[in-house]
This record gives sequence, structure tokens and C-alpha cells, in this order.
Amino acid sequence: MDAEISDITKALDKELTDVKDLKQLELLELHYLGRKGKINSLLTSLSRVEKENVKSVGAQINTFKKTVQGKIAARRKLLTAELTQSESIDVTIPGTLYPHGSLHIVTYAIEEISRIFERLGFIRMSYPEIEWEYFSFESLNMPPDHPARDDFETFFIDTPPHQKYGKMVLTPHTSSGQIREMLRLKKPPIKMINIAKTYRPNWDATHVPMFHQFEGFCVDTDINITHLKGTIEYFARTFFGPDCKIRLRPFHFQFTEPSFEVDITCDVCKGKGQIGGTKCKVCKSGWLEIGGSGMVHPNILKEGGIDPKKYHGWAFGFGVERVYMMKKGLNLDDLRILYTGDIRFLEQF
Amino acid sequence: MNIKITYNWLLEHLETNADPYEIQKYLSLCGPSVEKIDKAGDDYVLDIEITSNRVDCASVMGIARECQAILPQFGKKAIIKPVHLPMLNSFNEQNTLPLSIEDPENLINRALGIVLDSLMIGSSPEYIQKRLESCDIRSLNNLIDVTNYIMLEIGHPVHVFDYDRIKTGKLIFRKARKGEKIITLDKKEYVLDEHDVIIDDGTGRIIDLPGIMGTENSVVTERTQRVLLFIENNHAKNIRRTSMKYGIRTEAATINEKHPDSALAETAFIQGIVMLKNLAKGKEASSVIDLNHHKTELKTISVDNRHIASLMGIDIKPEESASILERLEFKVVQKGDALSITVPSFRSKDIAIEEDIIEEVARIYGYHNLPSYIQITGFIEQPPDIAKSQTTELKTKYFLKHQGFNDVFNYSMISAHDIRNFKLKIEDHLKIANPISNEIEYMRTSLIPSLLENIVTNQGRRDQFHFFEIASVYLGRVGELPEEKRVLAIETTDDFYSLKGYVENLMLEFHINPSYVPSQNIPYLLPNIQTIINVEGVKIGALGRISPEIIQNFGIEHDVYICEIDFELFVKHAQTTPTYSAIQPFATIKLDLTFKKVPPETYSSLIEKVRKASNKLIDIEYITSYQDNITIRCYFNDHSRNLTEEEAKQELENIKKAIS
Repeated sequence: MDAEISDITKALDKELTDVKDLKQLELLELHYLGRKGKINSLLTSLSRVEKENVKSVGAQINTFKKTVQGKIAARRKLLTAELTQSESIDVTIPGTLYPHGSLHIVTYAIEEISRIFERLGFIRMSYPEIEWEYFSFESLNMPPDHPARDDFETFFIDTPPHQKYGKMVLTPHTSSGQIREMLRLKKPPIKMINIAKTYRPNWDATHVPMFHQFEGFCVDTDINITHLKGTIEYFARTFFGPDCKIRLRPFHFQFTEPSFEVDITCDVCKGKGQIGGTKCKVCKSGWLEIGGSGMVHPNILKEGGIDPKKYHGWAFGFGVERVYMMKKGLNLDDLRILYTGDIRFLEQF
Repeated sequence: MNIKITYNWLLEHLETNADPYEIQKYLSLCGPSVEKIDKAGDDYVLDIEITSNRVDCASVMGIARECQAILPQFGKKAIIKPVHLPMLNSFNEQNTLPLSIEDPENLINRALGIVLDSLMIGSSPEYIQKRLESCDIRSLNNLIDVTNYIMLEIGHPVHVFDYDRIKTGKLIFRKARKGEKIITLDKKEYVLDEHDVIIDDGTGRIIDLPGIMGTENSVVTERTQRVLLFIENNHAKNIRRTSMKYGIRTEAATINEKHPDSALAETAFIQGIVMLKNLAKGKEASSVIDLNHHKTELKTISVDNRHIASLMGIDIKPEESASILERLEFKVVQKGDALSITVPSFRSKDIAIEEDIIEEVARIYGYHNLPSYIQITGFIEQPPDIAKSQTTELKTKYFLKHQGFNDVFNYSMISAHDIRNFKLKIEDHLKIANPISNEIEYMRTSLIPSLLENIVTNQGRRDQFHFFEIASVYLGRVGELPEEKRVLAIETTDDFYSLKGYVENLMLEFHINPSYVPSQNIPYLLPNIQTIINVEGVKIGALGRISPEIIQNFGIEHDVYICEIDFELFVKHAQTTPTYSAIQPFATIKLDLTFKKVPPETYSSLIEKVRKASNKLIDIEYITSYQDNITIRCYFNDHSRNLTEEEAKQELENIKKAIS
């Protein structure tokens, strides 16, 4: 037995030195320690050993088995350590490039705005972008010749006017959706967010002829100014960040009474209106205007077939691009580039 | 509109301890927004935005009134200093020169006139010149400066005629006759029509375009010795119509079109007489004429204070509401919650209903003092089709983005040029009646022209393009609003199969199973490189290569592949919950098959035959094609047991027979 063990040991030592990788080592291990391996065949040969020696020879084989296991384990450890060191690449070479694409910032803005209001139970609706004058003006308390119509310079469509509803216009604001939503539902509660394309005949450094607005509209029995404030504050905090504050300033719109303009704190000067003694270039005295709002005028509720004695409501209309461009860190101040289709702009988002 | 006033000028009418910046801050919170303050010597110029309903604020006096209501709310003193003006009837002693004012057609609300004689024309005192110039008004001479000064101070436009140039001493308001001409004082000629109101001197000669601008033939000149100081309070709508029609947007017109108070006209008039006497040594030379057709009747509105409190969302005591209103010069009789409120004359046009009163109380109380809550309301359901459409649109956008496409937003309007280049008919497009550029004159009926322009814009910036847009196109209908149809267009410069692959992938994403039917009649695509996309036998879109003629028309240097999909139909077929098919426990055997396609046979017609030839064939995978040799991989499976290789080969043989 000693001789056999000695032969196996010699062979094992040689083979272990020749083993180059873990796979070979695994084969070697099988060859010695496997079911049909050399150690097992030694054990099988025990049957030929004289009875009184079986115990000691058995013990000898077992000791030898442990030695073999130990040698293999040691070799494995060494090989693993070698492999760990030898595998090497330049990890600074860029990874495989996959298609990336981009979404327009208006898409992101609409998604985010919809989600914010969805959490308050507001539903997003869509209403015509080409409308009758009646829905864009008369029904919103702006009769023909009214100076307030000046604030909404309007594109008209070259088509015969409707007998009842007047000329066809490209919606200069999203407020026509208020009337449409009231007529659809007939009865409060109404909680709508209407996001749509709007159009005005202005095209210069700070205006584009087409842009997007979002209109919030809420009508129910006990709605008051504090709800408008609360909702806009929630929007501003969620959209612009937890430090954002709002203020309502008195204003005038024909379709709300009272009417407010909504300002948020300027993020550039942190609402101070100045940076190191010089006037902030971005805002007016620490505040940035984000749009108009107010309590729904009783005439508008009546136009929508809703009893203004029983119900009150609030509404606001903000510019989608405008609010998105006010976001911290975006650093985008050119409105026109949004609609140029310039790939160098698009692919950044 | 914006007005400018100065701080020192305001202090002449207001006793206050508020500095200009405090005024800016507090007024902006509760009243007119003071947008800017500029220092001018020892004075400050306040640039103030006046909303169209608050023309009563558009003056030093108007702002003083707002200060009186607002500043005490912030613990600041603000008391209007009383002005002691003579009464109108105190000027009636002299009666030497003839003057008559007639308005037979009832075209104005009020007119006031007086002739002043022996005037010394010259420059105004320095403080007047400075103030006018601070407020962006050029100082001319004392006579003209007085009119502008009063307009800024009191808020009602004022005019002076050269009395001698009127010749007749008569002023008759009438409608112009169509074709009548006038030359305004800035020497521009206008041809009037029957809607315009003018002043005739009784001989048929027009001597004024009232409320808007004086005429060249009656204005004050350097030789003027006698003036007619004249104020008329006009019908706002007429002023607006005429002023807008001819584009004569004077300060006077922007005020007169907003219903200034006719009682203010009297104040301005008296102030005018006093100033002309003081500054130009004028003497009254006629009686005062006051033609007052429409005396403003003071209206009274009853408001329940509980209504005020409920719309403000707070408990506000009726006494506090009353006190705020009184500071705004409303007269209030309060009995418990019942407030009976008399509206001052200068607010008669903008205060009409309870809500107007609530706005006054709420803004002075301060919106910043109101708490913020989120309303608790009932549930409202979004119509399911709208919900699905919005979700699908957003998912589609993200999907295409992750496939490497760039989402573009193009204008809904395109040029006639693009319509022609794309070989569409101009008359199929809604046209903008008042376009501002021929680039954006027609409403799109297809997204493709814009997407082609996107490539033109970016040519040279990248080698390949992958754009998409989801937007509405506008299809005109007779007598009703156009159909606004949602469309998805996908564009690439890769090749046909690349685009088709993207489209197939998109369909797979939404579990839509379309068929692609060769087509030849989509005019903008190459006749032999185009296919219709059908779902359940209905066309939902098309894809193919843009015809070389259109490519040349647009000046594009690439081959362009386009897919246009009716997005509403796409949404309809999109599945949010796909059907699960149980995983087969039995072995699937894969065998490749190469066959030759003989035109006019198509791949899809052959595949159809392949499918029919074996009921063990569960799937077919396209592997490759070379010329007309096509290799596919067939997947065989039996639902109830393991197929043997031999059985599968037999199935393949059956297929071979079927297509040979």
C-alpha cells in the first residue's frame, strides 16, 4: 500500500504542477477523488487486505485522501489567485453604444404636470385646438370689442363663421376647456387639467406662435380661494422643489372674479431680487410670474349650465414651456429652440 | 397698460410714511403691480401695471386712492390730502366769445368746454417738465403740457384747441361720412367711415377725432392766444373701434376706450382752468358748457358678509369688510352680516356683482394672509378611452426613445411651399386668415412635411436620423370644427427593413398583430417600396420610402423612410393585458428551410402556404434572404407529446411540397 500511495503522490504532484486552469483542476480532482477515482480504487482494494490490517490500512488511505484533498485545495487557491491577477482589460474604453433617443421637454413637462395633478384626483382632458370664437371668448365673458381680448391676440381660420358661434380660431388659451368640461359633465364635482397647444400671432426672440398651456379647473360646493392657493402651492413645491413659495397678486381676467396672477420665488436670487448688490436679471424683485388664476366668474358657471349660487370654482392657466424652463438646473432660456427640431438640442433630453 | 408716476408727485396727494419700495411691495401684493422703480434725481419713477378694468388707477390720484386702502393694512399711514378746487359754476362770469357744443346723435357721455383768452404761450415750469419727462411724455409748451399733466394726475384725457382756428365757435359731434378725410396733428391722413365719431365746426369741416387725437387744422400752435379747453367723455367702444382700426394708439385713446369716469372729467376740467390761468395767465372768455347726457348713477350692491367669508375661506367680521370697503371710498351701511354698499362713481364700470365686492375685500385683506388647503371633493372619473389614449401615447414615446428615436414637436402650421413640395393640395388645408409669416400659414393635414423639414434643418449635423412625432392633424369639415386626428409618424434614413423592424417592434410592444400589404398608390412613397399596415383587415397606417421627387423638392441628401400611423386606431388595438399562452412542456424541434421565391410570389404569400401545410408548426422565424433564396426556421411542437426528429422532418417535407 505504501508503494501505491507513494506512486499516486508522485503522479499527483506532477499533474498538479502541470494544471493550467480551474477546468483542468476539476478534471484532475475527478480523476483522484471522484467516484471512480484513484482514492476510491484504493479503498476498493481493501477487500484484498488481511483482516487484521484492514483497520490500519483503511486509516492510512483516509489520511492519504485528506492529503490529496489538501493539495488540490492548495493548488485551487493558488490558481484562483493567479487568475484573479492575470485577467486584465482597459476599463476606461467606452462600453458598447446602444441607441438612446430623446423625448422633447414638452413631453416630459406634460407627463410630470399630469402626474402631479393626478395625485389630487384631477383628470386630464383634451379639447379642440381649433375652436369657435364663442368658446374662446364670448362664453368666457369677453364680448366682441372687449379690450380684454387684446391680451389674447388670436389667429383666425379663413372659413365662413358659424351662425351661432362666430369665427373659427386657433385657441389662444386653454380656458375654452372650462366651458367644454362643464357641458360634458353637467354637474360638479369637476376637477380637470387640460393640457393643449395654444397659438398667438407673436414670433420673436421671446415668443413662439405655438406653445402649450395647462389649465386647472375645479368646481364644487365649498370651493374658495384657500383651495386655489393650496393647490398651486402643492404644484409649485412638487414641480419646482420644496423651498418654492408662491404669492397671488391681484389681477384682472374676464373669466375669473377675483383674479390673481401667480408668482413663484426666483431660484436664481433665492427670492431676494438681487445677487451681491446687483439686480437679479431673471426676475422682478425676487418673484417670477407663472400665469393667471382666479375664482371662476359666476357668468362662466352659468355658461356651463352650473348654478353659481350653489357652486364655486377656481381655475388657472399656466404656460407649459414657461414653467418647465423655470426648473432649477435646466439652464434653458431660449424658447424658440424648442420648435426648431435641432438635433443638437433634442438629443440632450 | 403701464403708467409711470413719480413718488414726489404722489406725496402731493398722499400723506404717508411709506417709502417708494414699501409702496412697491405692498401695492403689488394687494393692488396694481409696481413693476419697477427708477431713481430720477431726488425723485423715484414708479412703473405700474394697470389692468384693463382699473382705468381709475391710471393716475397719481388713482394710485393715491389705492395707497389709502392698502398701506394701513401693513401698518403704514396713508391719508389722501384734500384738494380744494373751485366749483364749476364759479367760472361763469365772463361771456364774451361764442361757444356752443352739440351732440344731436347722442354720441358721447359728457363734454365740457370753456374759452380762455390772453394766453402767454411758453415753456412750463421746471417741475412740470421734469415730471412729464420722467413719465415718458415730451414737454412741448405750457398749454399742451397742462393737458398731459392733468391726464397723468387725475386720469382723464384733456384737449386744447386753438379757439381761433375753429373759426365758428361751434363743435358738433357727428358720425363721419364714408370717405371723409382728416389730417391728425402728427400730419397723417386717414380716410374715415360712417362708424367714426368726429367733431364738425358747423361748416362740414372736421376739427377733431375726439378722444383719440386732435387734427392738424385746430391744434395749438406757437401763435395761439386763445384756447378752447375741452374734455369729452366718450363711448368707450367707439374709441376702441376707431383707434384700433387706424392704429392710432395714443395715451388718450388707451384711457378713453376703458370707460374713464365722467365725474373725473369735471375734476380734470376745473384743474385745467386753474392751471391754464396760473401758468399761462389765461382769462375766462366764455361761459362754461357742460353737456352731460349720461350722469353716472351711483349703484348700490347688497352683499352678505357670510358670502365674502365663504369665498375667502376664512372668518372675516362684517366690520372688517366694511372698513376695507370704506377705505376704497365705497359707502357702506352695515346691519349684522348685511352690507349695503354704494359704489363710488370712478368704480362704476368695474364693480357690478357681489364677487367684485368680494375681490375688493379679499385683495385688501391680503391674499398672502389667507391659509392654503387642498380641497376635499368628490371623485371624478377620467373617460377610459382618454385614459388609454394618454397612457399609450406616453408609453409609445418612451418606447421609441429607447429605440433611439428623437421626439420632435413641430408647429401645427406649415407653408404653402411645403404643401406643394409634398404634393398635397393647398385647398385641402385650413388657412390662417391673419398669418404672421408664410412659414406658418396652413394647418397640417400630415406630419410628414414637418419631419422632412427636420432632416433639412439637421443635414450635415449627423449622418443618420431617427425622428418621430405624435400630434394632431387638422382635417377641415363643412360648417363644423375640423377633425383633430392624432397621428404618429416615424422617420429614419436607415433603410426600409430597419424602419419596418422598428414598427414591428412597436406593434409587438403593444401586442398588435398587423399585416403588411404591398401597395402602390400612396403618392408620396416609391410605388414599389411601400406597404399598408392593416390590423384586423382595417388600414391603420402605411410605411415606405419617400419618393425621389419629394426628396429633391425638399433638398434632402438622404433616402428617407417614413411610417405614418393613425394613432387613434393604434390605441384602439393596443392591448394593455396580453393573453398568456402556457409554456409547452413538450420538446420543440427547430428545422431550417431554404426555398426559392419566384416573383410575383411574396414572402408573406409563401409563409401563408407554409403555415397551412403543417399543424405541428407553431412558429416561423425569418433567418435571411439572398436574392430570391429565403431561409426560415420552423418550430415544430405537438401539444400532447414529444415529437421525434423524424416526425418533424416529415412535417418539413410536407411544407416543401406545399410551396414547390
